[in-house]
Amino acid sequence: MKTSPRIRASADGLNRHGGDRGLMAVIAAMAALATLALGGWSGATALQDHWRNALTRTIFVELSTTDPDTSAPDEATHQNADKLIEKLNGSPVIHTVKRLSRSELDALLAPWLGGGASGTLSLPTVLTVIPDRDASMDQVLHTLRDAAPDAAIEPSASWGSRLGLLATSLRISAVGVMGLALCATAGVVMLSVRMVLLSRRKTVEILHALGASDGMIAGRIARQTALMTGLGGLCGALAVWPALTVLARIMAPFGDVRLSGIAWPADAGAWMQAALGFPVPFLELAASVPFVMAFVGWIVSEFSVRLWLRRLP
Amino acid sequence: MIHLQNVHARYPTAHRGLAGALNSISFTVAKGEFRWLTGASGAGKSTLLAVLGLSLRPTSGQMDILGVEPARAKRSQLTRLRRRIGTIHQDYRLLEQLTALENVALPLRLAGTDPRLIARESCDILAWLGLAGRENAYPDQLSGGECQRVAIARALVVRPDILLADEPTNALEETESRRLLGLFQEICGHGTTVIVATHNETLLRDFPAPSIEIAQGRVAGGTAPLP
Ligand SMILES: Nc1ncnc2c1ncn2[C@@H]1O[C@H](COP(=O)(O)OP(=O)(O)O)[C@@H](O)[C@H]1O
Ligand SMILES: [Mg+2]
Repeated sequence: MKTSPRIRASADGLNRHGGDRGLMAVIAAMAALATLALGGWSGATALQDHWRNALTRTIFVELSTTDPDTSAPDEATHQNADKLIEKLNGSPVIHTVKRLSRSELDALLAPWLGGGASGTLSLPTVLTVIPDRDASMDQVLHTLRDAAPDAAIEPSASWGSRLGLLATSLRISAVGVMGLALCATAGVVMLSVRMVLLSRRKTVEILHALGASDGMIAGRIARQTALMTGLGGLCGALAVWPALTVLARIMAPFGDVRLSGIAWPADAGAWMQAALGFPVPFLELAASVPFVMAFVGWIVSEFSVRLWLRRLP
Repeated sequence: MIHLQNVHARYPTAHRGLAGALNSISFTVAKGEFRWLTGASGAGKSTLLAVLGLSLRPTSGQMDILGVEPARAKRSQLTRLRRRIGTIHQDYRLLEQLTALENVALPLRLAGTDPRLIARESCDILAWLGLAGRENAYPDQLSGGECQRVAIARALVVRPDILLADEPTNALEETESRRLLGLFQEICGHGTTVIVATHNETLLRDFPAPSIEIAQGRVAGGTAPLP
């Protein structure tokens, strides 16, 4: 049977076959690493914001009970607390003071004691003090000690700055990992392009001699490489998603204490919801991973092919 | 027009630095002229054609190809110049992954020809060379003579201003060879400059034309006036 003569659109001898799965696999691994790092970076950023805004601005004041035999707050303590709140609210260095309600105390302690623990425990009276934005921590602590000399004052600021430092180093590591993943991607692409040029040397020389410009040859190889690194990036980002979902669950209580009581997603649907429920800025960043990989593949191969073609007359 | 003045060329070799190949070559071929390029095997004919086809850069000397001085030209200019030169290589240099038709269509596609014309012109020239029905065959499915004809078709399909043919008839039957030489002389009449390297005495006798004789990388004689 005779088929009618046909010219394939991509008939230039530069089509890549099979052998590039290795490249795609390595790129997928790099993309997975980068996506994980991105998750770490986003998570650390969110935690840092949370800690900076909520935690470091809050001072906990635990009032001592008047009756030393029982730790349960009695009437006198309550009255003392009311007086103290009134007094502190009048101070210029303090923004707000309020008594932690039972449920708030529950939530605060939940990570350590589990939900509803306070029902069975007798808990002290705790005030939360949020200092004025312009007030220095020393001023505020001084005011508090004056007003309630017996109270246990626990500024979380020092913790906040320590946690902040931790978050910052997490973020720096994440950026480092992302940078490494990109460098490794660029290196792998460079090697792969070199292999293509070696195995297609004769083809490239023939095309060059027939009048193919450097741009044509480089563009053709670069587009194929970009497609492959882009697909690899997509596979890698998708493959790491379940791990990210689990990690996000583990990290959640650090950002929002009320979440710790929530159990692991119960069924596939709930997992699905969790997997899709990442904050939009992170989703946008993660969605950009395949495109970044494609771009790196494209730019690196354009550059290395053009450089290599310079050796032809 | 082709003009060479004291052109030297060397092949880069792995162990000995540069291998001497062409020494002080000078000649001129006018537009629409036909020239034989003669000389013993290893004399430097293919090397000279590579220099003329802009795939080997001379180490020194002046060159003028179709009004362009390759040594001073920009890369993009050289690319455009290559599209005006058709070369039939001694070893054909077909792309193995492409069919006969696709090989022939390649220079047209690189030159940005209208896609509707590409298939028709490529098929026409293959048919003229007796390859109708073989368009979809790959080079490894073709005989030596068929490959040579595909290479000839690929060089001719763009109607080049310069045609460089390196032993273009060594795999062809005698009648085919004569037909091809007839075609070469015909396209000279349309303004194409044709240089054909050969050591086939019969052809040289049957198609008398000015020649350049090369021996040991130098112009050793010939019937053409030297500049
Ligand atoms: N690619 C190459 N690398 C190194 N030396 C070469 C190469 N091609 C040809 N030569 C050498 O250049 C000289 C001229 O060869 P060539 O031009 O092919 O001769 P001809 O075509 O007249 O038979 C020979 O000595 C040959 O060995
Ligand atoms: Mg030769």
